[in-house]
Amino acid sequence: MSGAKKILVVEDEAVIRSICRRILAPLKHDAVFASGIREAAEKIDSSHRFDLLITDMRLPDGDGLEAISLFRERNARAAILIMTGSPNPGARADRLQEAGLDEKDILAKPFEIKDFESLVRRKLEEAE
Amino acid sequence: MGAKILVVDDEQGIRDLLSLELGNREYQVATAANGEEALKKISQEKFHLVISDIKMPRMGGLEMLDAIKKADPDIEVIMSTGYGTIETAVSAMKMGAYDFIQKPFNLDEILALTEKALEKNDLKTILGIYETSKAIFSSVKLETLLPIMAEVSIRVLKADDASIMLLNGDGKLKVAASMGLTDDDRAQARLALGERVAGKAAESGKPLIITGPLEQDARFSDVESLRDIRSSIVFPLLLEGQVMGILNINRTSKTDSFGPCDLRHATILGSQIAQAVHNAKLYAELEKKIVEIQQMQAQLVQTEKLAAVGQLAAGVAHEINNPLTGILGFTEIMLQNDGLSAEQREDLESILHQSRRCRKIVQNLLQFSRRRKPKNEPIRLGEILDPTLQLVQYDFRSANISLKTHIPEDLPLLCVDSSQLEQVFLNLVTNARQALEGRKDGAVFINAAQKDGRVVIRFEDNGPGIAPENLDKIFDPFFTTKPVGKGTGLGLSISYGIIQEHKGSIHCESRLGAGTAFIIELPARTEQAP
Repeated sequence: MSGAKKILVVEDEAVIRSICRRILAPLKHDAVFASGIREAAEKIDSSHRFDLLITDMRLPDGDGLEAISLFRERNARAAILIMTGSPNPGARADRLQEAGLDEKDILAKPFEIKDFESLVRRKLEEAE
Repeated sequence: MGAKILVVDDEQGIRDLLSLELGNREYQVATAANGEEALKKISQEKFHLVISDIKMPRMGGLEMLDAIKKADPDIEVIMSTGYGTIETAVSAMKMGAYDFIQKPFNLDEILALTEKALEKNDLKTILGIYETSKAIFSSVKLETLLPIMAEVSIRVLKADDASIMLLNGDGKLKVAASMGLTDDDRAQARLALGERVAGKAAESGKPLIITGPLEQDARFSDVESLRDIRSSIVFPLLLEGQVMGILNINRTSKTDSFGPCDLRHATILGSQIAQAVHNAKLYAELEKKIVEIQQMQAQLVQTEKLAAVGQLAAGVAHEINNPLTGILGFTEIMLQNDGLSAEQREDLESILHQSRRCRKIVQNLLQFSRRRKPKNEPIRLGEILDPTLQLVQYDFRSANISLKTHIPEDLPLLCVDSSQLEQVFLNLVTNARQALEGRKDGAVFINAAQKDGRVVIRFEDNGPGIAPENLDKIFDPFFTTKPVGKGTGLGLSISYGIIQEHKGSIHCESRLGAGTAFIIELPARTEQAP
């Protein structure tokens, strides 16, 4: 891994944003946070390039897949990690597939820190 | 309308006298001067009674009597004779005459006799029919009905024994009821008789009279215990042209053989028995259908219950997952702090443990609500069962519980989602394991068999069993008798849902103190299936 990476976290729950911040901090990455799609769009526009997007699926102003497509417009080669507490991954399998994603790109909430860390590490390696 | 009487006499005077006297008493009277003329009239209209002279020109009384009984055995005949001997009278009686009267007769005597003969004629058949009809309505159970029918047959036909044999599912004749047969050998012999003539009787659809002794009859000479039969009626029980069985009535002690009159009565009885058998079969079918409908209804209710809980669970799960992420996450973060006291660390570990437990419950709920369409892979039962059992093998061995399986080599393939079935099997063996906790002789037995295009898998344990009042609740979501923390009460509900998605069924048989069995039925893979 070469140096600090840039990560965008889209999550409407402040508590979970805060946990993500605490977990990511020791990893020395540059993490940026957004509470919804509109805020995420602003962050995407104002930054040069991201290496990883971590997004919730259910957001107050839209759905995680919208955030993903917005993100990809500017960060085509970046990795994607979905974080969700939604019950039925099977039901949205088709939509995930359209976005070029699958079950392996999903981190189920509530998660353990070590799982979060290892998935982020793997994603960042993939994106290199 | 009065009964119809035919007066046969070659003397005009007697014909006129009886016509007048009987006509005055509301009877309809016709006359004939000899046997020939009488037979002609009988062939044209129905008479209830014939009063006839014995000695007449052209055709005598006895010859006529024989012809009448052959043509219509229900017609009663009173013979009269002016010079006759006892012998003639006796032979008339033997041929089926009701009675005889000597000329010159007393008018009152002949009127009384007429009345009695007509009464008998009517009652005889009505009584038998009445008895059988009464029996038909008394029960719809063949076990009750058929013995009554056999008894009535004996009584009406003045026989010594009667058997009703029915064709069972594989087309074999079986004795369904018999009367007057004390030992089994004789009952079995009747069955042999039925078998030998059933085909013939069935083919013609007509009853058969066999006149004994039977040892002279090549058809039966090899059956020892049939030799006591002197006369026999074998009557095919038909319904809509289909043979359902045989009514067999025998005389063993009486010297007189069955005659056409008896056959007529057997016909009436036979048709009533056939109808009763048919009714009973319809009733049994109806009963079966009702049970099926009740089971389907219960299944529907169960499905509805699962669906409702599933929906609720999905909603609740999502709401709980976010706060739970916070609790779990911050607890872990706090535990990363090296400056914690041992007590603080212990408390935080406790929070961590409890939140993980919550997460497990929520996961179960989600799994429950996820009614994923099962995949359809052709697979051998063993390929699913073996890895499942491997998971628990160590635990079973260390708890000293024996685990035996029997899966026949030729068991058809299943067409199922193996991961879903693994979950069901694991759930059942885990439940059995928990039920056997602390027992010395604990055993779990799993066996499979095929039945009517389905694979039946039975999971049996010798644990404490399930209380009868709980038996119909075990598949309900959240129902559990396990101690707090040991079960969410979702395992069997989930299993139920999975088996149902596979178009199979699962049910439970259990007796307190004897053990529990779960029986799963799944459709076997058909040849045509891909």
